[in-house]
Amino acid sequence: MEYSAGKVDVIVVGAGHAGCEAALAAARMGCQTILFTINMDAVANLPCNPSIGGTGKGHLVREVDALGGEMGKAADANMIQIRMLNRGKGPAVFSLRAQIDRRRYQEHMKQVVEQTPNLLLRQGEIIDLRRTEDGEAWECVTPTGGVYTAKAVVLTTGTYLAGSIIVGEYKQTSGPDGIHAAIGLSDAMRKLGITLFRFKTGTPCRVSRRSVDFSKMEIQEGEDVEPFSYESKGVTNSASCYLTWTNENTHNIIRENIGRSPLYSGKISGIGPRYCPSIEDKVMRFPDRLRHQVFIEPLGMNTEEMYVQGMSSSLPEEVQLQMLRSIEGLENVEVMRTGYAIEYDCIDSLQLRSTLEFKKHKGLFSAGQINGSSGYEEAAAQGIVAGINAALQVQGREPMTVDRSEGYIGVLIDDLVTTGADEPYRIMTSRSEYRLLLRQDNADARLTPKGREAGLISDERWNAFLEKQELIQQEMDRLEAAHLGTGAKFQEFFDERGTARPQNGTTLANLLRRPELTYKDIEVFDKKRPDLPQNVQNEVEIRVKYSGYIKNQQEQVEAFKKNQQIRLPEDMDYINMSGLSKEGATKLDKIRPETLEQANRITGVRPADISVLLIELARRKGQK
Amino acid sequence: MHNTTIAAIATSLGTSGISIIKLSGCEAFAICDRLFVCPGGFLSKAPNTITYGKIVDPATGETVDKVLVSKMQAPRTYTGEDVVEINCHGGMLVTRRVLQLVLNAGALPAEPGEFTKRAFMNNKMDLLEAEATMDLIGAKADKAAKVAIQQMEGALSKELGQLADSLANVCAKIDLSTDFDELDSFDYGPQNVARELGPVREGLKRLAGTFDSGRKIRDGLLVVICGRPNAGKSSLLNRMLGEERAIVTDIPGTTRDTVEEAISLGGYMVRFVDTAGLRQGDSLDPVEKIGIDRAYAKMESADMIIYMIDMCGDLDKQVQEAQEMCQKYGENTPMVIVANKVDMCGEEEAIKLLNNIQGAQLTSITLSALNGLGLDKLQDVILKQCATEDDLMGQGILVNERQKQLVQRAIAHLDRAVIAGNAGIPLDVLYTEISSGVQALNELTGRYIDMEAIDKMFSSYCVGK
Repeated sequence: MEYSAGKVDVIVVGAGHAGCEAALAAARMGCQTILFTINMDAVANLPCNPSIGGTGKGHLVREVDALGGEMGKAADANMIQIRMLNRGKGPAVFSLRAQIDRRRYQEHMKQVVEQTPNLLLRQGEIIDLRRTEDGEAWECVTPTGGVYTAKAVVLTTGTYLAGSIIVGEYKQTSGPDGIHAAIGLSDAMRKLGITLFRFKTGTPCRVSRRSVDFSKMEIQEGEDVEPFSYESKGVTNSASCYLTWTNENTHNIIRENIGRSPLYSGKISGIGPRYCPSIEDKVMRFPDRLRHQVFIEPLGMNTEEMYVQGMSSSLPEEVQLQMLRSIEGLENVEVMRTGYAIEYDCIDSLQLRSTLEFKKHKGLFSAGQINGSSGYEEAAAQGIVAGINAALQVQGREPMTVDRSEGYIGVLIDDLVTTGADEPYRIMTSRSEYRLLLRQDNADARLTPKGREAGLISDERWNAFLEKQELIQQEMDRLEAAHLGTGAKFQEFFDERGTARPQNGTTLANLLRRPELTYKDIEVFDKKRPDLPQNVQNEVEIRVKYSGYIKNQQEQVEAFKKNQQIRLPEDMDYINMSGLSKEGATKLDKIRPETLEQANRITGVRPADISVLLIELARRKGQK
Repeated sequence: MHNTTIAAIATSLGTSGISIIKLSGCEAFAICDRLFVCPGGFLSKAPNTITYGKIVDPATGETVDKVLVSKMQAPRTYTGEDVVEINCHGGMLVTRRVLQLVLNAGALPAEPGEFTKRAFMNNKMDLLEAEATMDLIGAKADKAAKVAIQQMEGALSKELGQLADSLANVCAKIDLSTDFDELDSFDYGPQNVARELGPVREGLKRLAGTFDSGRKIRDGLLVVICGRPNAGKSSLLNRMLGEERAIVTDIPGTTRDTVEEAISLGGYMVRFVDTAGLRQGDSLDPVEKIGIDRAYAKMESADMIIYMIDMCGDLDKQVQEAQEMCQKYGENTPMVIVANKVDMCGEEEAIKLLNNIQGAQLTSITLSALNGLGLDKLQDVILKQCATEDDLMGQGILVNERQKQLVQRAIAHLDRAVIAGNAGIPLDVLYTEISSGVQALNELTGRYIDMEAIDKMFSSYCVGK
C-alpha cells in the first residue's frame, strides 16, 4: 500500500558525490530537500580510488568550491597526502591531487548533510518516479510504499542503477562495494520516454599493506601546497604512496588471458587513451610500452587496505592475482577485495539542457554517472549545477549555467549535452579550448560571482574573495610599473644565471616573462615587494608571466562568444532543410542545439552544414 | 530550403550570337513550360536533354524567339536544384523580353551570385571552391581560368587540409603529454613542438607567397609605362592594344590621368597603365600635378615599370631620370628601359646610351612605337614576368585578400609558437598560439565564418552565375 509520505521542494535520489552537492546546494538556497540513499553507510562513498583531484579533476574540485560546494572542504579536512601534479608542465595543467581517508571522508560528508538546515537525509530506494496527477510536481516512491512529492527531482544514481558486478565469468546484480543495486527506477524512467544506455567501469584490487614489499618501490611523499578550498586553512601530509611498474611478464599474463576479460571487447575505438582505462586496455592499446606505472595508495589511516592504482581490471580473480604477483614488490601480495567491472544504466545525456534538466521533463534533473560521466569530481561538478538549477526553478528564478570559457564544469556539461558520451566521460584539460584561462589557481575568480548570485557564498567569503582579487590586480600593476635598477650587483645575477642581461630600465614584469625566471627569483631586484599570501603570489606570477598568451586566449573567447550569440530558433526544421548532410540533419534534429556555436561542435555536423545554417538564419532575417 | 525559383541572363550583356537565360529552383520546369512550346510538351521531356521549340508570350500568343532548352534535374545540377537553360538566338532585346516573360511566369530575378550561393548551400561546393568559381567567372584570361578551375577542383582545400592535419597531430601530442601523467615516458616538450611546426609553417609560407602570383593571374600583371611627356608612351600602349584608346597628341602632357588597359598576352592578362608624363617645374597646372602624383602611386604597386626614353629629346635629363627610377624602384620591381623613336634617331646611339644605365633587375630595349620595331622583344620581357606562374600550376594558390590575411595570421601565430617552443615555454601555454593558428585556418576553409562574410562574398559577384 502506498501512502503519502510528505511534500518538499526538491528530492535528490542518491547520496554520492553528485547527490550530496545537489542536495546541499538546494537546501542551502532555502529549498526543503530530501536526500535519499540506498544505504545510510554509503553516503559519499569512494568506491574506487581513495583520492580526489588529479589532472583536470583538481580543477573541477576548485570550481565546485568556488560555486559554494562541499567537496573541496571535505577533501581538505580528510586528506592524508596532497601533491601538485604536472609541476614540470605548465600552469594550465597544474593539478591538485589528494589521498583521502575514505571512511573519515564519508562520515564527514554525512554529518555536513545531516547538519544542514532544510535537508533531510533519508535511507530508502526510489523504485518509481512519476508526475503527480495535476502534472505540476513529481512523486518518488519507496519499496515500503512512501510516496514523496517534490517540485523538482534530481537523479544522482551513480553506478547503482540496475548495477551488476562482473569478475571474469562471474556476474552478480549489485551496486559498488556490495551495496544493493537500484532496481525499478530504470523502468520508471523508460516509461517517461527517457533513453537509457548501459555503461561499464571498473576498479582494481585492494591489497593488504603487510603483504607489500615497499623497499622495492619508489616512495612518494606529499607536498606543502595550497588546499582545494578557498576557505580551508592548510593541508595535511601524514601518509606516503608508493610507485612500482608493470613488466613484460605482467603484460604476457594479460595477453594470454585477454579472451576472458568481459570489459575488453577486442575493438579499439577512438584515438589515444581518452579515458581512465583498465590495465588490459592499456596493454592492448599500447603494445609498444614495456611498462606502466602502478601506485600503491592507502585507503585511510585506520585500515591496512591499500589501493593498487593503475591496475583496474575485470579479468578473472586468479588472473588478477597472478598479474599482481608479477609486479616488483607485490610478489607475495594478499588480495583483500577483488577488482571488478561494474555495469549500470545511465541516460543519453543529449536529452538534457545545460542546466541538467531534461528537455522534455520540466523539474526533472540528473547529475553524475547517470549522465554518462565517470569520476567523483565530475559527479560533484554536475551535482552542484543540477542542485542550484532545481532550487532556482522552484524559486522561480533565472537558471544558472557555466559556459565553456568559464570553467571545466561548463566544458563537462556542454560536452555531455551537445556531443554526448559514448563511453564514461572523464574530464581532461585538453577537452577545453581555453585551458590557459581555466586554471586551478583562478577558479575562484571565474566562478565565485555565480555562486554568490545563487546564494551559496557567505558575506565573509565574498569579501575575502574581493580582497584577494584586489591584491592580485595591485601586484600585477605594480610589477608592470616597477623598473629594474642598473647596479653592478644586478648584472652579476644575470651572469651567474647564465641568462642575458636585460636592457636598462626594463620592468619587473618583463623580467618575469623570461621563461627561466620566477617571481621568487626576481625578488632580489624588488625592494618594495609587499608581503602577499602564497595563492596571490602564484596567480600573479602566472598572469604576468604568460600575459601575452592569456590575452591571445581571451581573444579566442571573444570569437567564441560572438558565435555563441547566434541562437538557433527552436522551430528550425532540420530534417526538411535542403543542403544539410543527412547525418548533420539527424544530429541537429535530435540534439537541437541552442546556439550555432554548439551546433558546430556536434560530431557529424560538417562545416558545410554550418554554412547552410548561417544562410538559413540570414534568410529568416531577410524575411522579417 | 529554397521554395523560390530564380532566373537571370547568364551570358554577358552584349551583342552575341547566343544568349542564355538560366532558371533554378523547384518551379523551374513548370515556369518554362508556361512559355516554351515544343512537340509533346516540355514537362514530358527526359532530364538532361535539349529540346528545340519556341518561346511564346502566353498573353498574346506571339512567338518571341526560337530556342534550344536544356532540362537538368536536381540534384545533379550546378545549383543542386532543377535547372533550365534557354538558349535564345536573338539579340539582347529579345533575350531581355524572354527573361521578362520568365519572370512574369513566376520566377524571381536572381541576386548577384545567387546561383553559386545556392550551389554552395546545397553542398555542391565548399567555401573555397565557391570563391574559385567566382574567380573563374571574373577571369579575363586563359591562365586565370585555369587556376580558378584548379582551385575549384579543390587544390587549395586539399593543401590546407593536409596542413591542418599536421597541426592537429601536434595538438594531439601536446594533449597526450599534458593530460596523461601516466605516459611519462612519452617525451614530448616545447622543443619538439618548435621542430614539428617547421614544415607546416613552410607550407603556409609557400601558400602566402602564391598570393602575389595568384593576384597577378587573377587581376593581371600590372605594368606601368612612364617617361617624359611626349616620349611615346601612349603610342606604345596603342600599339599593344591595337586600337586608339589613349589620347595621342603632340602637345606635351596630354595624358593627364593614368589610363589603364588590359590585354591578353600569351594567355595572361596584362594591365598597362599609361601615366601622366613625368614633367617637373612650376608650369604644371593643378590637374597635371594630380596626374603625376597618381603616376607615382601606381609605380609603387607595379609588377613591372617601363621607363621610356625619347631618343629625340633631352637625353642627359632622361638618362638621369631613368637612373633615379632604377634606384628608387629597381630593388623591388623589375625595370625595363625602352629607348623609343629609334626609327628617327638611330639605334646604335640608343644602345650606347642604354649601356650607361645600371639597375638591379634591368632590361634595356630599343624600340619604335610608331612602326612596331622591338615590340616583340618587349612582349617577351613582359611574358617572362608572367611565365613564372607556370610553376604554380597544380598547386593551391591564394587568390584573394581574405585568404591571404588569414594565412598570414596563421603564420604569425605559428612563428610565435616556434619562438616560444625554443625558449622552453610550457606546452599548455604555447598551445594558445597553435590554436589561434588553427582558428585562422578554420576561418579560411569555412569551419568558422560569419554571415556577413558570406553575404559580402556572394554579392560581389555578377548576376546569373
